[in-house]
Amino acid sequence: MIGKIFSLASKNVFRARTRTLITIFAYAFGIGMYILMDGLLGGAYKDSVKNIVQKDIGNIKVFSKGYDINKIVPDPEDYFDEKVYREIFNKYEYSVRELQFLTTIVSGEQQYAGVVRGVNPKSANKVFNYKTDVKVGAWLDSLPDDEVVMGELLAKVLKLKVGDNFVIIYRNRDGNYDAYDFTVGGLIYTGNPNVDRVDVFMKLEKAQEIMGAQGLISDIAIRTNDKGAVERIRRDCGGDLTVYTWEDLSQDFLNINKTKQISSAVLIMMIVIVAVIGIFNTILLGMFERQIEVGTLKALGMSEKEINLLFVIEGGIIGLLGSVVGIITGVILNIPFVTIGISLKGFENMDIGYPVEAVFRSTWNPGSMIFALIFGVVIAILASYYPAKRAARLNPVETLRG
Amino acid sequence: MITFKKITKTYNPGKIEVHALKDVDITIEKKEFMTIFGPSGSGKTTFLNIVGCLDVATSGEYLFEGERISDLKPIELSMIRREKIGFIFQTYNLIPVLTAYENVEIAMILSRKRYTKDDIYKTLEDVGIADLADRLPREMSGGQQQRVSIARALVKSPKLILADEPTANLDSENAMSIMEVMKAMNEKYDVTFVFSTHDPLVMEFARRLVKLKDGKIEEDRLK
Repeated sequence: MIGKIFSLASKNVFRARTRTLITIFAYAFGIGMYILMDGLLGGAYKDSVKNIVQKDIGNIKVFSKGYDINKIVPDPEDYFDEKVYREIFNKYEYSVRELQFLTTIVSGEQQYAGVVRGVNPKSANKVFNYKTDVKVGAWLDSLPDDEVVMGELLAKVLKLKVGDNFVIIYRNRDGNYDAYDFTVGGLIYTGNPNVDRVDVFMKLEKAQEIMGAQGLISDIAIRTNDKGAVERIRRDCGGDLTVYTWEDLSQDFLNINKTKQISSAVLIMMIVIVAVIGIFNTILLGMFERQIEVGTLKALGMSEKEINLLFVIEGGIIGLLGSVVGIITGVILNIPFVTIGISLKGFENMDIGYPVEAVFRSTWNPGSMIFALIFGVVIAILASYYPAKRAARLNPVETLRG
Repeated sequence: MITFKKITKTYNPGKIEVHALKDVDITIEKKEFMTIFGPSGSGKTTFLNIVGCLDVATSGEYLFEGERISDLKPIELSMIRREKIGFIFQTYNLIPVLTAYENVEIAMILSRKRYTKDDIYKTLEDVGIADLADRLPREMSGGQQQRVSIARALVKSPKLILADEPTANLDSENAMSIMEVMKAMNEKYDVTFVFSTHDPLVMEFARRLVKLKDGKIEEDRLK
């Protein structure tokens, strides 16, 4: 019986061909946009997380107890003696001690705010793989102490090239402003704008020397997949240090991501509502046009439940076709964004809220496609429920009168 | 088989009342080939709707094979229709997306009776359109469509077939042909036929003639 009702419903779907096709395409547009937006946002998120973890913060970052997480870098009074904790952190092969401080970089007429990151060149390369990101010049391990590696985008703003000299102005550990001459030894492009637009890398000892902070560091960055590492480090440090995950330190990014997901969901929802109204309209008009037929089926003994089912299945079929066409459309639209990516070249200094590369790629999310398919069919069924119920309740005597 | 006791049907009760049937008493026996005729508005369609369990009487008692129909719920009326009653409509009312075969088959499916393809083809053969089984209604003439409609009413072996002006949309040649088919089926399968008509030539086929006027039976005679 169900099979016959399904067969009849599938034949009925294309009786008003143009109307059904318009509804299917409207539905497909909504579903297709969802697949595309989901892929783009997923790609932006994935690239962002990769950039944050692999190029800037690591999985875990350890600061002194007094560090205010809202500050860009720790204050000099928050520096701590790394030797005290060496035994704890030596267990982690992929860790790097850093001394960070804020600075103003001056080059001729140009000046720009930046962050100095004093690091051990080998450790920093091991954790963040910076050596492969050097576009011009060399990484710190091949440079003399008074040469630094600078983010390529920062250098561009300051119009600096490898070999050029510049001055950094900073507040030393005693609280006095100081200045120091450096030479650009290398330009780095990591793909993370937070690094490429802001950071100046120098050897840890040099940073400690000019800061007057011998033996002190501001933080330790660790790359590890060990889920229990955070708790273990907290326990080992006995409360003297503060341990943060990359998520703790990237709340702004995570909030922006959440907001963008919500706003895109709202946008897609509006498109889907329009499509759902299309299905509602299609089934309702079908019900009005086929009143005599409904009366005939009732006269033949079809129950209200079966007539209801007939129209609901028609809505479901439209939803299924719309969802499948929508998923195919979304996949086709997403292919170039996955294979070629979206180029943000020329917009490197524009903050889109995601720390992504000049070219970032969309992703495939099979879970979203399955969700879209199920969601599309369920919503279509719900949209057709009311007109189906009206059809089921039609009085056969009145409908057969025509 | 069918007994009406003081059946009254009033539309808009309590408002501007229209009495479609007034205290109608009638008994219809098995195997009858009966016509109900009368002027427009005399209550023919209302009579057929109540007999066919599509509508219920405002008052009075209706017995179908001894069962009190007046007390049944809509789902129970639906079950009686699907099992025991076949309908033939003036405008054929075939499902446009189904072939002749499928239009007949759907009545069989809804009746929940067991059937084979041969049962459907045999019924189509009975009404003379087995060769049109794969045609859609729009590919058939009015007379052919009405034959499909008869096959659809007949296929589930109902006790009763009701036909509301079955020849009204046909030319006289086709009308006669349809009446001959109906009469042949009545004789072959002993199924009761009740049909309404305005056409005196069509009335000639009936063995019993019942005339309605203003919702009342004015004449009831056997030929």
